[in-house]
Amino acid sequence: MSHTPAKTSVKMGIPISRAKLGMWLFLGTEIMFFTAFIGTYIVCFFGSPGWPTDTHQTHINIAAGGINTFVLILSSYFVVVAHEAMGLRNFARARQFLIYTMVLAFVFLGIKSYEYNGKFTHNILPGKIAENDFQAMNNTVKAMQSAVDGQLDLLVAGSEKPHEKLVVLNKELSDAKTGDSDSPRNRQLRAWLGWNEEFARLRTEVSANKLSLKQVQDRLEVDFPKTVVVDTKTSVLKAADGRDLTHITGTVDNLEAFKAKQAYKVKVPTGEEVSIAPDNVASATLLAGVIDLGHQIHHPFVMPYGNLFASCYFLMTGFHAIHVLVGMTLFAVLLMQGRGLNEKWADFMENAGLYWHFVDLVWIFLFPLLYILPGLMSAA
Amino acid sequence: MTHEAAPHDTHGHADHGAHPHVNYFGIFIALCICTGLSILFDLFDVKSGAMKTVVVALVLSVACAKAMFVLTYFMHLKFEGNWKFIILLPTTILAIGLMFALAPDIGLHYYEPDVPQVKQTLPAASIDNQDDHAHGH
Repeated sequence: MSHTPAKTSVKMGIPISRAKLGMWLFLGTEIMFFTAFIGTYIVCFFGSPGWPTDTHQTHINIAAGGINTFVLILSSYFVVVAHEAMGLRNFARARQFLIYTMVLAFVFLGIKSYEYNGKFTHNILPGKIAENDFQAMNNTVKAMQSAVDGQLDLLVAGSEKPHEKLVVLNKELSDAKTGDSDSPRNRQLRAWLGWNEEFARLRTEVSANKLSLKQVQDRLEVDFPKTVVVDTKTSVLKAADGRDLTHITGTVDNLEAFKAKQAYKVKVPTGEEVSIAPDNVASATLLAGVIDLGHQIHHPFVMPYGNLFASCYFLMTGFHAIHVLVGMTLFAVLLMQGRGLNEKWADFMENAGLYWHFVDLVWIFLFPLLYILPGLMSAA
Repeated sequence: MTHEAAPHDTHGHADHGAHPHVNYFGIFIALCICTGLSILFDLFDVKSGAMKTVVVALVLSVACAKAMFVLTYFMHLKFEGNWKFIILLPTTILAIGLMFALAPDIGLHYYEPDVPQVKQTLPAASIDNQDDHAHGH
């Protein structure tokens, strides 16, 4: 008995290659995969009164998102050009446009990393965002603890614990000769002690529930001023309310340049020079190296649903970035063929292209949902 | 339906290269214009709720238009046979269905959600009202 199938002119099934059918079936599952995330986000967004829409607070950078959209669209265009070139057996052109696509994929991930860095720096992370006043105050205390300890590490070298370093610091101050008491080093140590006492007082009062969020915010503005003013007569840096901050900030080194509205430098107690913008109100965050608390401590804020927002954001953009990496791997396989890229790779190219277009497609929806709509909703 | 494989079809890619020429650069420009429109909508200072709904609908419509451009031309669905519906319709229906399934509990709230975030957004009740509420129980 023969098992050889009879030849027939009728081909059953779907009239596309098995590889392409496989890719489209896979993309079908991918649609479901991303819809689960995007659908959940949409429903949460519109169904949660108070959902975070302030893009300054969530550190959503619309310009970065817009540029990334353009980058992905351009890369999609390059992919179709490469695919078309493959069809025309112009493999050198196909390789050329695949390289362009790879470069754009790196640009996309670079911009995404920049955005992620902003989120990590400002603690826009799942489980880290304060959703009520008490959590906001606790976050501030934690940030201050970390900043004060970090500054102590800069002042007193070694791997001892903070309380041990405090003993060393106090001993150094008490051992200082009378004539040296106003040396930059000793002024710096005393400044740190002042910050530490202030912090300890704040921490105690927060844990005793004696302060409201507004009071904590006010106290931060007084003790860790965000803006400083330069007294043009004395070259002294002052808080906006006129308090002298010399003990913590140093003095303006080049007043003439400042008066000429050029960038000027501030000498800070650590001996470093820090450039400050050419106006008389400078952000305290620029006084890096002073006692770098203004930079490290963000004023406490409450963001209802912030953690859910951050979870959705990282889930969607993270999985999208993973897909970008997979797409880059597919293109890398093609590029690794070098001059050996030929018509045998046409199916692979088409499927890699379909995958890349899908990656673009997902971003086409992520961009308005994550970047544009929050800005619109917060406009009212 | 007959489907004669092309002579070069040694790997089953009979359909490869069968698409008519498309002005891909034109599609790219259309996509750029759509992206520009989305950003333009973001610049609108929309105050009223109704207008906000309109602009949100416009932004999402532009996104759908962009998606259609990519699907139709870059992914060549315009030139594919009806098999595309077999694969894409079920997933599309299920994807849309998922949002409708989530909406009643999470999106529409047919009950008042008892979560701290909602309480924070409510206006503070006066002391008199709180007293009345307490006496009521």
